[in-house]
Amino acid sequence: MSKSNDEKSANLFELYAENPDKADEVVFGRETHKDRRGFLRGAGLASMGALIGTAIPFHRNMPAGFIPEALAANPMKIQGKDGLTILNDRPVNAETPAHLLNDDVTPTARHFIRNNGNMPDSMDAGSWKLQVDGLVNNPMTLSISDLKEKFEVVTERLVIECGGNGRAAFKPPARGNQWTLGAVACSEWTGVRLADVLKAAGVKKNVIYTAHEGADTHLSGKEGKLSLSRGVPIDKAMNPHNLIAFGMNGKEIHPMNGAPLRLVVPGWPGSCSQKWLKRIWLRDVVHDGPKMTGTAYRVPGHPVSAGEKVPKEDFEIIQAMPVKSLITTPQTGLTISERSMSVGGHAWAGDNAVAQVDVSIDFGATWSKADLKAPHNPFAWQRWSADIKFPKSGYYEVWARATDDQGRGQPFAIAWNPKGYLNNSMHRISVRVS
Amino acid sequence: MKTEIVSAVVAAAAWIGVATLTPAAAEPQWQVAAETGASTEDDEYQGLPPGKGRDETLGICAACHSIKLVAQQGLSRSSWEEVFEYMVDEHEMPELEPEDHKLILDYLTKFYGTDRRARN
Repeated sequence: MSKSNDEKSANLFELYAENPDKADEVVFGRETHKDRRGFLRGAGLASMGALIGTAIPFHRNMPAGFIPEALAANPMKIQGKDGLTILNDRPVNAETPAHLLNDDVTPTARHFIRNNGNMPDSMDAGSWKLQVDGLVNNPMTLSISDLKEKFEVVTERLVIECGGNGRAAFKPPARGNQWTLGAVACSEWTGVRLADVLKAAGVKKNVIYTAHEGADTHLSGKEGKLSLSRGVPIDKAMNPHNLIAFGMNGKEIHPMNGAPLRLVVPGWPGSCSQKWLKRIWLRDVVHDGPKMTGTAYRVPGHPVSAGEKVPKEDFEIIQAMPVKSLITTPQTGLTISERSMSVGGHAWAGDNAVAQVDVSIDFGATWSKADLKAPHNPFAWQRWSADIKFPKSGYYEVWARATDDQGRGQPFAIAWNPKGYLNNSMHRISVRVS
Repeated sequence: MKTEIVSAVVAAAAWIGVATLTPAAAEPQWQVAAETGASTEDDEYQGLPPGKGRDETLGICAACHSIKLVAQQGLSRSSWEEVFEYMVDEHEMPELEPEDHKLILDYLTKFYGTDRRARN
């Protein structure tokens, strides 16, 4: 690119950051159509083509506000995030390598990102409004200041894990983002209890389910279409550890983690923790918003063989996430010259607590009990650690297995399901002893 | 701890067939192209390999989401067919003309089929 083109693309980024649709119009003469596919005309098409260095055969299909990949040089350093593996850039989905999740409280920079739609245009905390309605005695519209004034503000460490964490290991593969290990985090969230807000709204007796709506928009750009709207049974919603959060690790929430207001419903699939929260709607039916129905966030109600076709009616909504653990130190692939090593990580168990963690260095033939700490608060992950000794030099794998307080442990192999959810098979790292 | 390595390796090998160990530090390849800032044909096609149906696949899939989502998959023809149905039913993808439908399905099955590792 020539110097003038460099300058132009720098300005382009600023323009697009401020107002993508306007930028399209100004820079490329591209009008935003109802379906949000931009339409390039004459000079606009020529100038975008000039920047890219060739013609764009499918320019009619380019969504409004969309910077061509070729222009978006080095676009993937996400501000305020560090070390994440980016699975998808539109919408942004990124996970954290296991060894970068070693902190007891996951720093904001290391919290994974799972987006279903386009991020909202505005995330202004001052003007943000939350609506609580449906089958309630006192429908409410609350600003973030209202929430802070009317309800007790609490801070808790809470695990959020994507329902599809671990999907990448499914064989045959399941479609969707191929998360490996790191779509999980335990940050410190500040907000008010969802239960307190629901009590103030006066939930009617016939309510069985919540329905959550966020300000993000559907990828297709269709007006009014929600990208995702999930909910939970009212009993789960009333758990005192669910938060309507406006703070993350003592600061404001990261834009890609749902600023300025989100739900945190720990222990259940992350999709229950609606980001950019605008509305909580109380219903007398199981919520049927986008990604509540069909096979989304559902698994067969009975065990199936790998690759089996399962009729839609056999699928059941995922509730609590299963017991799981990660080895966060050391990083896999390590070579050591000593015969001993400390290993450690975190363990968590949906709505339950972790009762025990064991480690093995012989592919699961024998196990030793690890030291396990109590959670900082319910729904926080628990630190485990172990000192291990290697009998001779060679290749080892360290495996970790958590067991919850109901006696349920992590399996060796994946309980395969068509959509690739709930992989809680054991995490393992490799170590070479020289 | 005991070290029954030999029998254990056999057990582990059986398990590897189910759960693949994750290389934690691997960077997706596409970032390299982005860093150079060069505009290559690969950039324009977001990494879609050359082949019959590439333009149509880019046009339909990248209208709403990045090709990185496509490139993560390794699916059978019937699973790709289900993805089409899902995209039409739930995500506003237009119903395709039979010839485009076949063209794109052929392309995806050829380059993003089950013989391919699922992840990047």
